[in-house]
Amino acid sequence: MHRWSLTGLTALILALGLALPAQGGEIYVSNEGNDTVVVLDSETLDIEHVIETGGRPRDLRFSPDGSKLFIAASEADRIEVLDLETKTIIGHIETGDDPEIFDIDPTGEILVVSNEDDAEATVIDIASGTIRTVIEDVGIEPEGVTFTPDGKRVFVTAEATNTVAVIDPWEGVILADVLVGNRPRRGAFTPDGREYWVTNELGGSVSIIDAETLQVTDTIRFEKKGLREADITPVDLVMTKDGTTAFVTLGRAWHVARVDVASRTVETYILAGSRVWGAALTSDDSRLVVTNGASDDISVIDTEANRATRSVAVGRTPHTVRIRD
Amino acid sequence: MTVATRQAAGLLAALLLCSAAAAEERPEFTFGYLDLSDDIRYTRWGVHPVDIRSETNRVDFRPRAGAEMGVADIRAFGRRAGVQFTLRAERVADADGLPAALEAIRAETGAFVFLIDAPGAAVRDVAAATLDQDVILINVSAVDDRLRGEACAAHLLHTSPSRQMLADAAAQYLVARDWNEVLVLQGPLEEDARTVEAFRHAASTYGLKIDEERAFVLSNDPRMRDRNDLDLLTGRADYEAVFVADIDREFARSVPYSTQDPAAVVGAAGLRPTPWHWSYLRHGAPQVHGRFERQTGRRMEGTDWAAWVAIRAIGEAIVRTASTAKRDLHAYLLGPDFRLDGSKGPALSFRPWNGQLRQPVMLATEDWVTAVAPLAGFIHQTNDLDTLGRDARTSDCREFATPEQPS
Repeated sequence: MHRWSLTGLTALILALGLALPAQGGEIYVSNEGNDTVVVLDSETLDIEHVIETGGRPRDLRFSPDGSKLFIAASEADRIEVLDLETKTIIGHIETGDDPEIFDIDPTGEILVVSNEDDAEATVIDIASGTIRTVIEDVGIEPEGVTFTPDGKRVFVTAEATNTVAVIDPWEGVILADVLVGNRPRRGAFTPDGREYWVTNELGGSVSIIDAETLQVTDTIRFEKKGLREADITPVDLVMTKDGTTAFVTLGRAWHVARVDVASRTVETYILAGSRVWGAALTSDDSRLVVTNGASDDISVIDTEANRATRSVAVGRTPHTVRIRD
Repeated sequence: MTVATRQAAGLLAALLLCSAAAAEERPEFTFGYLDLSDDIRYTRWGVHPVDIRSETNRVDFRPRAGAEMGVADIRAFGRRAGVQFTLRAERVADADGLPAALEAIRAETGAFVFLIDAPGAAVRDVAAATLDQDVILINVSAVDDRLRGEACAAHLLHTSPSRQMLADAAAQYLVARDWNEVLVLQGPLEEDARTVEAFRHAASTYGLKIDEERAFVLSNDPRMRDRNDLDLLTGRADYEAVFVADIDREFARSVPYSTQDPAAVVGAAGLRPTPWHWSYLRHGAPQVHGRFERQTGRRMEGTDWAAWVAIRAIGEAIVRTASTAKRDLHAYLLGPDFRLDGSKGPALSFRPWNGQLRQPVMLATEDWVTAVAPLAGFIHQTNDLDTLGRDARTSDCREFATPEQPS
C-alpha cells in the first residue's frame, strides 16, 4: 500500500513535469548530411536539441508507447534508439546492410526495415533486438515500408522493380507483388485500412491499391502549369486523421500537392523548398512540416491557408520529419 | 483474421503456389548479344602500371557485364510475364560475321531482341542486313551520329548516347562556366574528325568561340614538333578551355595541366562526357553501381550502363504491355507512354523520330561527376533532354513513322 502510493506519487510528479515541455510539442528531423537528429519546439521552431547519431540518419519512427524514437542510421547498419525524455541514445538494433525506411507494428512488437542494397526486408523483434526473419527477393532497391493499420501485413515498395510487395511479416512470406508506376517510393494507408496510396517518383503520380483485392484502382497524376513533367517527382505522402486529405511532396517541383482523397483530385499545390521529400502532420492536422533536402531546411505549412508560414534551417540534407505533440 | 481476409490470404497463397510451380516450365525469353573479338575501343591499359601488355593484367571492359546484370535485375518481371529471361552472347571475329551470328541465335532460341556492341560501321551493316527480319537491335556502344541520322533504321534503337549528345553536354558545361573561348586539338583518326565536327556544331548551337583547331599526332618525332609538343600545340592562341578529340585517349591523357595557358580540358581527357560514372551518388545510382561491382569486380563504365538499361527497357515494356510480342514491344518502346528509370534522375524515353534513348550525360573527372547535362538553364520546348543531340526538327532520320513531329 505504502509502496503503491509512492509509485503513484512519482508517476503524478513525472506526468506533471513532462506535460510542460510536451505542450508545445516537438519536431524531430534527421539530417543525413551531417549525422544528426535535431529537435525543434513546434511553437517557437527553435532548435532545442542536436543529437549526434550514427552515419547517415534517415527514417525515424516513434515507438507506439511514445517513449522512444527509432533512428535508421544507414551507414552504421543499425537502428538507434533515442530516449525521448533524456534525448540520449540508449541502445541500438542491428539491421543488416544499409537500413533506409522502416515501420513498427501497432503493438510495438516487431519492426520491418528495407535493405536497399540486398533486395531484402528484415523483420526484427524489438524487445530482444534480434532478427526474426530476412525476407528475400522483395524487389530491387526496396524502399518504403508501411504496416497495414491492423498490423497484419506490411507493404514494401521496390524502386527498381516498380512493384509493391505485400508481406506477412509474422510468417515471413511474400503474399503478392503489385505492379505500380515508375520508381515507387513511399506510401500510406487510408485510416480505414482499405486503400494503400503509393508515390511513383518517376511516374509523377500516386497509385492507389485496394488493400483487399490488391488491384491498382486509381492513379493520380500531378501536373501544374509552369512545372515540367521531369521535375514532378513525388516521394512522401501523409494523410489527415479523418482520411479526407492527402499531402504529397513533389521533390524537384518545389511543391506539395494537396489531394482530396474521396474524389482523387488535386485541390492545390503549395510552394515549399528545394527537393521537398519528407512530410509529417501535427496531431490536429493544422500544420504540415516538410523537409527540403536540397535547401537544408524545413517548411512549416499552414493547412488552412495552404501556404508555408516559416522555413527553418535544420542541417545538411534533411531527410525525415516526425512530430510529437 | 476475418473469414474474408483469411480466404483472401488463402487465395493469394494458392496463386503464389501456382506461379512457383509454373516457374519450372516458364518459357525462355532470350536476349541475343553480339560483340567483336577485335574492338579498338576495349584495348586499354590493364591494372598494372608498368607491364601494360600482360594478359593477366587485362581487364575485360566489355559491356556484356552490364547486360548480364540487367537480366538479373528484371528477373521479377519474368515471374510476372510468365517467362524466364536469359542472355545468349556470341563474340564474332569480324563485323561481316554479325548477321550470320544473329541469325544462328535467332534460329536456335527464337530471340528477337539483340544488343549490339560494335563500332558504328558494323552496327550500320548489321542493321542493313536485318531490315526484313522482324528483330529489334539495340546499339549499346556506337556513338556515330549517322546511325541516328541518314543511316537510321526503324528496328535499330540506341541506348548509347550519340557523339553529338556528348559534345553538346561538354559545350553546355563550358557555356555555364563562362569559358567561351576554346582551343580544339584533333587526333588523326576518322572518329576524331567526327568528334570535332560534333563539337563544332555544339559550339555554334551554344555560342562558344573556337579560337583554333589544331591536329596532333602521338609521336616523338622532332620533325613533327608542331603537332606532338603540347607547348607548341597550346601556344599562341586565345582560349579558356581545350577540347580534345582523341578516341584512342593515349595522347589526351597528357593534356590536362600541360597547356600553355591555364585552361580546363574537356573531351577525351579532363572533364569527360559519359553516359555513366561510378562516382555518381544520386538518384539510386550507388545501388546500381554497387550491384555491378559486386557482380563484376570492376567499376561500371558508360557502355555497361547502356547495355544494362537496354535490358531494363525491354523488361519494362514487357511488364507494362503484358506481352512478349515484338510488335507490341517495339510500338510501346517508341510510344508516348514509355518511361524508364535509368538511375540518372529524369525518366528516360526513346525519341520517336530516330530511336535514340533520351538521357542525361554526366561530365566526369577520373573520380567525380562534376555536372550532369542538360545543365540548369538549358531548356527545350518539349523535353530538356532534347537539348542533347539532334531533335525532331533537325534530325536527318526518315525511317521512323513519327506521329508527333513538332513543326
